[in-house]
Amino acid sequence: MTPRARRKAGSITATVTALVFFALTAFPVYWMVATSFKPDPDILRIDPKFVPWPATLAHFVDAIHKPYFWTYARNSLVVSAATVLLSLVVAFLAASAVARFRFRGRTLFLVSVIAVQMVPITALVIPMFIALRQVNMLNRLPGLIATYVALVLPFTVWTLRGFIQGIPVELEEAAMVDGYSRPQAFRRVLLPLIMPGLVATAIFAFIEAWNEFLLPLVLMQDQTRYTLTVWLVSFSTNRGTDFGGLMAASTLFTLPVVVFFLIVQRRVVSGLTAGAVKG
Amino acid sequence: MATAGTDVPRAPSRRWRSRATAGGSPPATGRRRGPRRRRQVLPYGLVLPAVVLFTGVLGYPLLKVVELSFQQYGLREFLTRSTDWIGIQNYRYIFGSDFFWTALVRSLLFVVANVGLTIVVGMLVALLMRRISPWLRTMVSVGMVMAWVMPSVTAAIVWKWMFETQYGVINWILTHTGIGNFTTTDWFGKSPLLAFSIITLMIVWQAVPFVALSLYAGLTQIPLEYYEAARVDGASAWRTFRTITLPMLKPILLLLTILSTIWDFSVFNQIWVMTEGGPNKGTVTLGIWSYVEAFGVGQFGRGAAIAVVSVLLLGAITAYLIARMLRSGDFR
Repeated sequence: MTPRARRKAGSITATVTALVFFALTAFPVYWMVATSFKPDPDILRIDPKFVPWPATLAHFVDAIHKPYFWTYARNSLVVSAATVLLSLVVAFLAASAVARFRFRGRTLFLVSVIAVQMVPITALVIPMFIALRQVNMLNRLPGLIATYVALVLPFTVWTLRGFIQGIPVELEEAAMVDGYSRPQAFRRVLLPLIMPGLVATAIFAFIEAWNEFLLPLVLMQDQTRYTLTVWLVSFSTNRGTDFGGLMAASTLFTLPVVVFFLIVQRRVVSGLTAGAVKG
Repeated sequence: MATAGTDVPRAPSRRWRSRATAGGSPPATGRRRGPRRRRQVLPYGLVLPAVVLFTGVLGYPLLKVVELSFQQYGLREFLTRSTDWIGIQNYRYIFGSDFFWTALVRSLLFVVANVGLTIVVGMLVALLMRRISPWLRTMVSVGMVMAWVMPSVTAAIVWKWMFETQYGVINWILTHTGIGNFTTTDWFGKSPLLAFSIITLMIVWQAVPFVALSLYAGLTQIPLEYYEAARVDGASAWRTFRTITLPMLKPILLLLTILSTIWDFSVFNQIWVMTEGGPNKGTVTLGIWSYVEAFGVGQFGRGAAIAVVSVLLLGAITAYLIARMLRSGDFR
């Protein structure tokens, strides 16, 4: 074979491999969506139907009319939004300090931020359960929010620090030379530049909170205080699972995450590993 | 808020952190020229809320879990809100039970399998992405992002449905492509190894995208001249990979290994949703065991002790990996 023919054969192999890989990665997502649109007889059959046609919206209608569905949706939304707001404000202040000042204890602070990220949530859930019970916060949304903040705060501080450091200090200095005070320089120069980073971090924190399962599973015992994740899982372990309804509910649950994520995808990859490659 | 910065020296005299020193080295004392390192109140004010929250929502539980691990804390103590110190009895119980060693080995093998597969497949995918056309690359990225972004809980639910015995699509495909008769295969009910394989497969499916995209981003930063030089010298593909690609990607590979280790060691949702530790406790890892001991059996003290042991274990593993990363010298 000539080198050219060999290269051509190689590129065909690569294309085929990539197509197979794409099919494998995308299939579970496709199968979830496809199942949710199939009428029941098309779901429970020995020879699966790969194309959801004829389609039905019945499972979606069923899912949102399940008892407490909207309560769970609201719980998930409230807890996630509150977590994002709280952790973002606090993390932003801390990240600015760490990125822009040298001060005693700075290294210690950074090291602790990294270290606590390594503690698995399974290790924290027991003391959190006991501690929340001591202050009568079990089964209450504010208590849950506090634990979620613990979950997202370390990485929000860490990512925001990266974003702030990415903005040249000279811009702020120039603004201050031009007569802005530090708070003004911050508000007029730094804040607009940091906005994309803030949005990305907020979305990332939101997804994390939205997806959390173990904490609400343990801390919320009253059925009306569940989040969507706990509800989904309890839905799935019922006997004689209604797969159509389950897949429709899963699709609904996944949808906001996908939309949010697509907005920030690039930033997340570069943000987490920035500076880790040296040319 | 507006007055917070007024007592701080103006910009030109401030020693700003430059990006070049972003690694967090302690401040150099030799820089103390002139009056500008006066009391800095502002940075402390800025980190204060974070420190308070860290202490309250993370520090306190961390101390508490250690404290609990030295206590007899069961349902009775939970209801009466009493404490009963019992020294190291919880630890003695754990280390004395055969199950601990089973769960320990199982957790370690699980992490090694997950991390190893994730990194290898991620590397292969990254290399593949360099060789395909841009539109196909976009397509592959979109597919991966969909897998990556799927909440672990829904992922587990969907995979359980795909691997369902009677109506699951996987059994049908395996049977109809002539691989064998899978019409009655119960993936989660019989053999722990089978159940673990599916869980691993799912975790790798969700973990590969981040690794592959990061490595691909790394690959694009390697100067093309290196590869041209290798081609001129007649180096084989494998040799080019080993002498150029791998060393250049080493820092990011180590970082990804560390992150993957931490994430895979902490896996709870996927195992719990798919098997709840079954069949016959065959998929109980340290994390699941700690949860079951506390919230299933009601032995919070023992659960806490298991948690402490697993945190120390993970700490030791990551400390080793981080030390290696720092020693390699090319990571900031």
